[in-house]
Amino acid sequence: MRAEVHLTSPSQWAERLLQLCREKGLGNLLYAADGPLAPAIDAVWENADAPPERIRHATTIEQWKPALFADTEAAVTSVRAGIADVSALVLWPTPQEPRSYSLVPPVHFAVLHAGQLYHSFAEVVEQEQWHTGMPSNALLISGPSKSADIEQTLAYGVHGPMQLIVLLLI
Amino acid sequence: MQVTSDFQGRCREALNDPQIRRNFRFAMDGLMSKRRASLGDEDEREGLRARCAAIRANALARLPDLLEQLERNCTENGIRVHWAETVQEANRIVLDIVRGHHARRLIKGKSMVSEEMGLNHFLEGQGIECLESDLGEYIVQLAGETPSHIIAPAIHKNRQEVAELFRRKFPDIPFQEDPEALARSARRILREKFEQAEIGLSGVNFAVAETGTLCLVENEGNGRMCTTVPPVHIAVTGIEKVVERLGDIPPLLDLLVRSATGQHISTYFNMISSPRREGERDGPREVHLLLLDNGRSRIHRDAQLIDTLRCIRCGACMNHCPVYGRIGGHAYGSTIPGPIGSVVEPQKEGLARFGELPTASTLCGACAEVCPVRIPR
Ligand code: SF4
Repeated sequence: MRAEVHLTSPSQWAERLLQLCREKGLGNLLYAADGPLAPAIDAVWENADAPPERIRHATTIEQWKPALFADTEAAVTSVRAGIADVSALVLWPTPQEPRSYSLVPPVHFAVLHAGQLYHSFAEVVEQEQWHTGMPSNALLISGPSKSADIEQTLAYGVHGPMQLIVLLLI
Repeated sequence: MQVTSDFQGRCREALNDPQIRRNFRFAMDGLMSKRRASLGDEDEREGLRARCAAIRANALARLPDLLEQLERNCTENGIRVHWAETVQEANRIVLDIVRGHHARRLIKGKSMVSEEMGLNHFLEGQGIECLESDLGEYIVQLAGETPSHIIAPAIHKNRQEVAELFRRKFPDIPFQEDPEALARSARRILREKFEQAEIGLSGVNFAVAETGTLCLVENEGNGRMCTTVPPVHIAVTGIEKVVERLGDIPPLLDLLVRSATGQHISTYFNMISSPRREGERDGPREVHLLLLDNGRSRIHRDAQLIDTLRCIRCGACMNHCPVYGRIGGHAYGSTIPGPIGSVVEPQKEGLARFGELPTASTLCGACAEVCPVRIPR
């Protein structure tokens, strides 16, 4: 599926994230200032020498749509679960980590704990009892955006992220 | 009945066009081998087919109940449900929503039902921009054509033809034939459109009655854009797309994707159950679900034809059809081409227009062999 997967640990993933941002030459990174990843990111970024700019917005998308589309180079989000048999991520966007974070910026980093892995999609739906209450938007994501609409030739980065980078915490 | 020769004429034209034949042969061979590789294990494949056929047959057996339940649960979730008997009614409902928001720009994800409605043409006649955003649909719209395949709308064009089209439409963009470079050009052009669109419109692959959830399968992310970024989302679908339970979705998704493109799973599977909720920072503030009948109830009442409503629009019957592979999608002249189109379109649009389509068969049975929901058996 052409997603990059990097194995790291619960204590070191944010450093790895910073390193990957640098390797990819990213100028900024969008994340949820009030989300689950913020403490680790802030701790690493505050001690780093000239890290990529941190972008935080606690407002609705309407307040900053042009900047989201034009100026945001990457975003990082947490992930609800992973599905092993088809290599997909399950996201249930939250007020803190809205759905456009995993869609609009050209690079999406996803932080997945190995303990959140399920065997199949059917197993997640069943074990987590999804039918008892669905979020406004639930997503499975298995790779970067792609299309085979021209001559059945795979082209990456059509509308969604051009790169999906998974940090797998074990 | 007087048999019209339009269809025969279009067939002859397609058969005499070596470019069309090459483009289709190449694409069909690729799609067939991808499906074969993905569904090679016969026991697993047949088990999945039996299960998916049963899920769809069950949904159709309980269609009126499930539609009521879907409406109830969607409404409870804050999705506004509309019913349309005819395509004229459906277009009118969309127009009323668009007008209600004083909107002028609508952006679309892939939707065969909107093709059935002739929605683009209708809205443009009302002065509303109606832009396709799926790469294949975008190409087809730029060329002033219609889709020639339900999964790969621009499959009749090769890269040189697409490159030529882009050169004509966008003289400022440097000429390029590489599919990825062409896709990136479309990305740049359409990003601004997503940002500015006032309404996003999409189709629906499955609608789950149990939870009031609309499911969309896609690889590009344009479907997510259309259902995430604009303040209003309109989902249009046929009444037959409903399934009973959320637990029905994993096997259907699995078999749909593998039958269609041979992928393990699509890049995105998007499940929408409500508009933006209190406290959420994005997502449409309004979600509308438009359920179109257009002859489906009549097909549903016909014991011989009801099974055709199981169709999950994977395209496999087209890919494997010796007739479709030679004449291509446009020759059919219908919204849905290929074997399933040949059966459904005369029912929906009448024998006068499409009575000849069922003759586009060699009786080889390839379509029945590959259909994930076992139509016609
Ligand atoms: S009839 Fe069967 S094979 Fe053809 S598109 Fe529908 S589900 Fe796929």
